Amino acid sequence: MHTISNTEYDLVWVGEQCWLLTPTDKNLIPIYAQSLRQSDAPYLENVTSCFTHILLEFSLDYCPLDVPDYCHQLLSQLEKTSKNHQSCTTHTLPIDFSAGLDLEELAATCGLSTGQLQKDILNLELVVMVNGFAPGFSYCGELPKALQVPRRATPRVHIPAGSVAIADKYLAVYPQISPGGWHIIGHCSQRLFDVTAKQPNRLNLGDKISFYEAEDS
Amino acid sequence: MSILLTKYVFPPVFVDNARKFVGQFGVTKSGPVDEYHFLYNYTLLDNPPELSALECIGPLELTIIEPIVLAFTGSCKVFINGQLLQGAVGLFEPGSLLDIHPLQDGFRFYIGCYSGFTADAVFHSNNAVPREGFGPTPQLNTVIHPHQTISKTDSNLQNVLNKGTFKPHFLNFLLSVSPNVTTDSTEGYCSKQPKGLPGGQQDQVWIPFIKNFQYEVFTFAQRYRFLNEVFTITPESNRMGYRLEQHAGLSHEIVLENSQVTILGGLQITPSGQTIVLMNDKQTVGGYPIMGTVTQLGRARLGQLSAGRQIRFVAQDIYSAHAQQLLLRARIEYLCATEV
Repeated sequence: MHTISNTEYDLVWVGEQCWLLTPTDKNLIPIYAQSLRQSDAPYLENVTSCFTHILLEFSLDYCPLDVPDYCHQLLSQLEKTSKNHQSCTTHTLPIDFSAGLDLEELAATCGLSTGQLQKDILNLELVVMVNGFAPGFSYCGELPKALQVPRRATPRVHIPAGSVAIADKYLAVYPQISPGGWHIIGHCSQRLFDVTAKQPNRLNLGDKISFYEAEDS
Repeated sequence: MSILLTKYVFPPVFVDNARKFVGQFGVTKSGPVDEYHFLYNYTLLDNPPELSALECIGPLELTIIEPIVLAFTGSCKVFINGQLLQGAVGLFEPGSLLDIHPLQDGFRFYIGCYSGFTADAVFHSNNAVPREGFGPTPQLNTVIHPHQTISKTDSNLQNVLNKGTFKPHFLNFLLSVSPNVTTDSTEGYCSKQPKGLPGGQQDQVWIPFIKNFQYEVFTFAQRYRFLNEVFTITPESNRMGYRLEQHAGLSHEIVLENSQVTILGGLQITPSGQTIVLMNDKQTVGGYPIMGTVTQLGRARLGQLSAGRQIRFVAQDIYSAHAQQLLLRARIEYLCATEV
């Protein structure tokens, strides 16, 4: 296995065109990922990040020998300016609790009244930690321990688009109709993914989200 | 100049050299499953890889509406008005009926046309992923157009026709070439066949893979079993992933703290012991540990295998996998550049 390690990150060659970057400080993942995406790294074609890693995918014509040096140059320069680099947006989204199919059951599991659970959700400020799994699906976290519940034992076959759901440490808004095992706590009427837009995802890594109660809730 | 798709068993999909910079949206890169036969296709046609071709499995029928130059690469034999087409590339006249069948040794093939097919682009790419619900999908009895009308005085077109007329559809060396495998203990190059490979079982196809960062999370026994098991491809395999028959010996209780990015060719092992090879239309995030990464050659081989076929995995180090990829590409480009 070809691994380059330093105090800031590990870089592993995991496929002919793929390298996996694992920053020591996981908080830097969105910043590193964004910087790599905006860089002029030769032959870099795709940057996908998750909770612990960043996957770099190159075109066939790249030279693997260049990758470690390039990453080192880019990321060490970034260190000095990282504080100024991140430009995150705060999104306040509507939530309609009347569509919360699992709200009562969830409140009981958490030892709260439904009203208190709603109040706790409206008080949350979460960070977009990962965009992935499906187009426009964002893992927002981390939820406070009191609201962390495992996924439903039996996943639903059909979760409506716009469903706001929680599972484990995360909250997400389902951008499309999909199967899923998360607990549905409400519905968000704002469209968060538009394939025709220049920036299809409304929620980007590092952005903050909170909710307000929709008027017709 | 255009073609009409008149019959198919499985709908073909438009592919090009994959979407770029879409991972941050949770959107998959997609792209051709058998990248070598796709490379062969666009190189024969002298097209850039950004132009789309059709990736097909199963029998298919086309009617030519206007003159067009098409290349057929991968597992197929092509009949034009009942006569077997001898080469990979041909100029087809209006009214011709093309009947295309997969070969016994494989089942995926590519149809490309000189100047590429036109299709609606999403994320600057013609790749469509049905699961995501966007991208162009060719329907039955739809007319498909190329980007440019052909001119018979086009000297480059004559060159393409001259070179492609005598070329095979299927690159047999992709199945026969031996990956430079590594032994489990030394990580060094090993020219021998891996130990434990039963002799005489030609129908078992070797799938080279690279051990990666999570290989060590599996126990020695699980790794040993993985390297020595024969796996059968199940009917649930598709462009998202090749699902292999479950092996109880590979079951595990490894729980990843968080979901992780998925790698093209990633060998996911589910807790019940099912191996899933992640293919081009995979989701971008997954929750199962991975034994390694199937190489581009391995994915091309898998892409030619249908349900019921048996495979074995052989470990290859990343350096030899990359070198082999360059050599195979050079071999295909050389083949395309020569007139015979």
